[in-house]
Order: sequence, then structure tokens, then C-alpha cells
Amino acid sequence: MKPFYQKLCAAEAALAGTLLVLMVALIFLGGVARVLGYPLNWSTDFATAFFAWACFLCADIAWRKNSLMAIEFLPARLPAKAQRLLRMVNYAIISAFLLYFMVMGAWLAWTSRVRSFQGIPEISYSWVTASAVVGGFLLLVTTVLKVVDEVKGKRSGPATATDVL
Amino acid sequence: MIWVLVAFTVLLLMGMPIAFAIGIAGCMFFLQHPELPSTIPIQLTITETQNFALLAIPLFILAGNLMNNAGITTNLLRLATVLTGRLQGGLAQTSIALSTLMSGVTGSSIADAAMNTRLLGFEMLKRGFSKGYAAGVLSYGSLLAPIIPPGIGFILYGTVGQVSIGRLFAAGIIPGLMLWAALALTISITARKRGYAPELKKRATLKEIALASWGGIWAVLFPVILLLGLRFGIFTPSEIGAFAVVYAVVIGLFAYRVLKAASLREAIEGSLVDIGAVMFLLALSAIFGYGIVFERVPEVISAWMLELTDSPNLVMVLIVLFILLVGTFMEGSVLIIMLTPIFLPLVTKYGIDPVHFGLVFIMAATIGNYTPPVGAAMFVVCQILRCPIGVYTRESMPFLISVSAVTLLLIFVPEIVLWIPDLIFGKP
Repeated sequence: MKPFYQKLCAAEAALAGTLLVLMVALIFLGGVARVLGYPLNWSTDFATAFFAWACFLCADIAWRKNSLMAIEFLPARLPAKAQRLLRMVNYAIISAFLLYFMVMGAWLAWTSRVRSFQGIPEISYSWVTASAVVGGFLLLVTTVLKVVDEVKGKRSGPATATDVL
Repeated sequence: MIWVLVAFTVLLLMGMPIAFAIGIAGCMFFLQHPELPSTIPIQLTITETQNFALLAIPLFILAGNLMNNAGITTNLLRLATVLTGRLQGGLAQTSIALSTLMSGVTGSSIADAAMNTRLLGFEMLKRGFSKGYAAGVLSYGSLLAPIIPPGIGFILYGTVGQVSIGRLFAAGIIPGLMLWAALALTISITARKRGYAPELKKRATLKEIALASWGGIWAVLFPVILLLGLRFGIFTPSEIGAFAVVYAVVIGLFAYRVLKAASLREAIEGSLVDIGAVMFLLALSAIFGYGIVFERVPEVISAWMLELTDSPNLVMVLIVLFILLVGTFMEGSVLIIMLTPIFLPLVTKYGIDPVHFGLVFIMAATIGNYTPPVGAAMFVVCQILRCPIGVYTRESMPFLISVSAVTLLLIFVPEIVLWIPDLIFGKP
């Protein structure tokens, strides 16, 4: 289980990084092509489709690394036991939310399968919607693993988020 | 909507990541309105990621991380040293000058604070600067990063509030330089009292200055190119983000020749985490935003405020005080994402220019990163220098006062902010 999961995480990061680089390349090319008088209408469409996937994959990476911003200075003042309980309650609520997110996302992907994506009629919009389903699933796995860590008595580590501002 | 706010506050205080808290609380609104389809929250989240304008955010985050690895810093440090070497306060002055120069290539105060501290922090302690003072200089200097173009704050505010990013970038130039002047003056005064001597024994020669300037030319040119590109409509803001990435890679590979495959990879990996944290928050905040628009929250707040006062200046001061207060325990980017949709319609009703408000807003939100109990830039600097927060808070007080004074001045004299945007882009 563990080695497989580690491979999955590596693949996730590699995919997210690749999508990011592709987004840069597509948008840059699109911009240059337009300035030169040959606008590419598909470059921004693909870039935004990749963006949806990159967002959810990056969100999962950030969640696993405890890098999502949170206000922890109040819980940090509680006794250790209460802190642990609070984290478990948080994980439970988050799991329920992600489950809802996945199920409704899957439903949307199913119903939108005939809707075509932006300017590209051959591609179904479901490819974009699917990012929410896969992203929701990955985030859920990460959350469950955090619970497992807590049960084993390991804390997955304090939040290490920094702002981008 | 009141229950949404209650749920949000409770989840926040429980220490739940803000992104989840905002999404989950936003869903409460749909529980109260069973007539709305339950797929809307997911649809809203996905639609948010399909906004081409928002693509500028990940691209600028990546560009900033690449610039930090592109070898620009060492060149700019040389330039900063020859420029400020004779000023009272030595390395402290150099640090602020370096921040100013760096802020033209990076857009993030925390990245800037971390880099400056690693570069100059221990050197400052060796020269006899006290820990709290050094930490204060290093953290407050980074306030320039989001203000001098480009800045992630402007991009967040501009995309969320649909305000021209070109005008916002241009608006940051004079306030950025004013902040530099204010901080340099504060250092001169406090350094004299503390006996911190100048760094260089004698004035740098013209040749030295010219050489150092040439070394930093690619960094200094960058914001100019960005503004020209936006001014002449050659590029959209998202394309400018892609351009910034390419620019960083090209100068890192060819001009400074320090960018290696390993550091390229490191910059991308670091960006993934930053992008995840911000974009997930932004995407889920769309769920929350639906209820805000549905229940006309900005209109309600505006009506209430208009009854209280009809002075635009007073409204700005009240909003800034609110942001400073909330900013003491919440990250600046969260404030911009959450509060722009509420405050922007309000200030527009008062006839305040959205660019003027944006600049003041971003400045106030960033100042929150330097104040306890929670301040991201403060944490980074104090952690690296092993400086207790209490000591930092006491010794950095002069800097807090000087940047607050600049903010106040900018509120009351919008012309300072709007002069360059009007000059470059014309009056709106």
C-alpha cells in the first residue's frame, strides 16, 4: 500500500508540474501567435482545461503538506487532547464535504457528457468536470490518511502554510 | 446568510483550513435553499477554474519562484550595496534597497522576506544589529514586493474585482518608492541613535555604480516591459504571466547562467504548493460568493454605511482599520479573496477609484503579515533569525508606524496613487 501511494504522490506532482509548464507554453504561444496575426483559438481553451486539473492536484499536494492556510492560534492554546479531538472533528466534516463534492461532481460529469468544451466541439466538457471528481477523491484519500496518522498517535504536523501575498 | 457566516466563523476558530471552511460554510446556504439544485456548489467551483483571467495567478507565482533562482539576487545585492553604502544604518539600508529592486521581479512579500533574511540576516547580526531590529528591517522591507509591479496582490484583487491589472501595476510605483523613502528615513533616524554605521568607508565610484547597474539591468527592465506590454495591449495579464515565466527562465539560463535543471524543478515544485493553497481557496470561495450576491450583502452593507457617513475618506479609514485588525490573525491573500467582492461595490458607491482603493487595501492586507499574533512574513523572518516574537514586535514598532503613516497619506491623497496610471493609461 505505502509504496503504491508514494508512487501516486510522485505521479500527482509530476502531472501537476507538467500541466503548469504546458499552461505557460500554451498561453505564451497563444499570445505570440496573436501578436503575429495568427490567433490560435484552441490554446487558451486547452490552458483553462489544464488549469482545472492543476488546481485540484495542487490543492491535494498542499493539503498533504499541511500548507493550506488556517487560523491555528486559538486551537493551539487548548490542551493536547482537545486539540486532537478538534482535528478529528475537522477531518470528519471535511471528509463528508469531499464525499458530497465527488458524488455531485460525478453526476455533473455524467450529465454534461454531451456538452462540448468551449471552442473544441470534439471534446466533452466532462473532461473538465472530471477534475473535480478525481481531485475530490485524492483530497479524500489524503484526509483519511491524516485520520489514520492521528489514530496511530502521529500528528501529521502543524500547518506550515505561508501566504503568497 | 447569517448561518453561513456563523458556520464560517466556527469552522475557522476550530482551525479548519480556510479553503475548506469557506466551501463548507458556503454549502450551508444551499441547505437553507432546497429549491436550488445541489450540484451548483460544484459547478461554481469548476467554473471558477475556467476563468482565463485567473490563470495569471499561478503563472506569476511560478515566475516569482523562478526569479528567485535565476541569479538576479546576487547582482541586485551588488547594486543595492553601491547605492546605499554611505547611508547611516549600513546593511539595513542595503536590505531595504535590495527589497525595492527585487520587488520589481517578484510579487510576493513572504518569498522576498525569506530570501532577504537568508541572504543578509546573519550578516546583519554579525555587524552588531540587534535581533529584533534586524528582523524588523528584513520583514518590513518586503512590504514593497507586492506594491511595486508586478504583485500577486494586484493580480488577485484585479481578477476577483475585475479591475484593470495594468492600472493597478502602474499605481504601485510611486507608493512603492514612498515606502522605500519612509523606511530608509526611519532607519537613518533609528540607526543614528543606535550607532549603526554606514557599510562602505568611501563613496562608490561612478564606474562601480555603472557596473553594478548593468548587472541588475534585466531585473530593473522587467517591470518596465510588463507595463509597456499591458499599456499597448500587446498582452493580456494572463499572457504577461506566461511571459514573466519565460523571461525568468531565459535570463536565468542565458544572462546570468545560474539556472540549473535542479533549481528549475525546485521552483516548479515549490510553486505547486503555493498554487494549490491559493487556487483551492479561490475556487471554493465561489460557493460562498454565490450566497453573498444572492442575498445582496454588499448592498445591505453599503446602505448601512451610507447612513453612518457620507465621507469617502472616513469609509476608507474604517475599512483599512478593519483590514488591519482582521489581518493580524488572517493571511492577506485570504482577505483579498474574501473581502474584495464585499468592499469594492461599497467604495464604488462612494465614488472612490477602484485602483486607489485596491492599492490601499493590498498595502493594509500585507501589513497584517508583519503584525502578531499571526503574520506570515514575521514568522518566516523570526524563524530564520531565531528571534522571539515579543522582541520583534517591540523593536519593529518604528517601521510599523512609518508604513502606517504612508498608508494614511495615500488614503487622503489619491492623486499620488492615480497619477502614473492616468499618465500611462489615460483617465478611466
